Amino acid sequence: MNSVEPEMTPERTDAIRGLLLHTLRSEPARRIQRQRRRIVVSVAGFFLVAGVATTGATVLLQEKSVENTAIVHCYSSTSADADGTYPGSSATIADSNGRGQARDALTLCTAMWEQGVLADGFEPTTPANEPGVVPELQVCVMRDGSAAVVPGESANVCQIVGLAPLVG
Amino acid sequence: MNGDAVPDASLWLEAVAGTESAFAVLFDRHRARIFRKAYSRLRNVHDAEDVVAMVFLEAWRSREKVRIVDGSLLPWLLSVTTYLTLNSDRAARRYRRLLAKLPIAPPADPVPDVDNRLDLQERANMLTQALRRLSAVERTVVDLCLVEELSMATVAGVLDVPIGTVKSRLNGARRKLRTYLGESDITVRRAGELSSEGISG
Repeated sequence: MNSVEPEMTPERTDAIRGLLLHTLRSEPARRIQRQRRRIVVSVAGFFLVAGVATTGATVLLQEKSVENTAIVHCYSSTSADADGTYPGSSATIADSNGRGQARDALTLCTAMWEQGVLADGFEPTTPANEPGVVPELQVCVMRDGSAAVVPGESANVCQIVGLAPLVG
Repeated sequence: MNGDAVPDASLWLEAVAGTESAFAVLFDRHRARIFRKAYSRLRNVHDAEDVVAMVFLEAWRSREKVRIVDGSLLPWLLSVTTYLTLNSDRAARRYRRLLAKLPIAPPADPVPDVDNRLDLQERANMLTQALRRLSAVERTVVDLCLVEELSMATVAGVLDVPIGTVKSRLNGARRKLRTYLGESDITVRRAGELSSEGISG
């Protein structure tokens, strides 16, 4: 009986790896293209929507509770990148009981800071990363009801990045 | 670069943020296991390699839904592998353009034990047909609990359901498979291979 199981061929393994990385590379380019289109529209319509935006901001800054525990956003900075987005990572983590830990957003993002994942210069493929320093963190709420944990000393930081503070 | 010491969760977060090297480490860390699983069902190297590619493409496409259980991405990847091996035609249509860029696999070496190979192929086909008659959740539970030997708690984490649900789905699926496969029950011969021979709890 022949018990030797085949393995992936090296040639196709390399090709698949290359294909996957090309897919990753092309994705941000597409996103930036979309964002550029949005910027053009926003500039053109700025004066028209300015009054509405004031009202919208009032609504946005009202305190909210976290209703979407499927995902947590961990901001690494309150300074927006050139494309208007904030740097950081998103995560959905399940525990061994099958319930999402995302409901404990602060714990999750604290762990990410402790591992150094959100620090400048973090190299994910190097085991020698320094442990991270955890800053003061605030829990804010995104428009979709998911939690966003933002570095800052007071809940005002939520308003700074355009998010609703957490209720209570 | 060596990413062995970096947990999947950290690599995945970096990959989602666009760090290619993190995604490459995850691919190399889990591709062999995914391939073995796909091959055990499809018995074809080329098709199993295509499934490996599709699993990781699907992970990227569905990156906001990916679940990391007990620090590992593997259970989620295996659940996707289960789905793709049973629905490979549909999945291949989605990724046809990308898969067409891959080189054609060289002809496989002759297999000395043709009878054994045919037997395995027949058994794989029989089980695939039986699994296709189960619901999607039942298929995943059977595959992850019995074939991959993951704990019920881990499977519950992947599916985001209570452990009791996993247990009841598994029992129900076992009963159905007994019916579909005749008098035999399913058991695990070894990791990655499901058998219709013998009886197991």
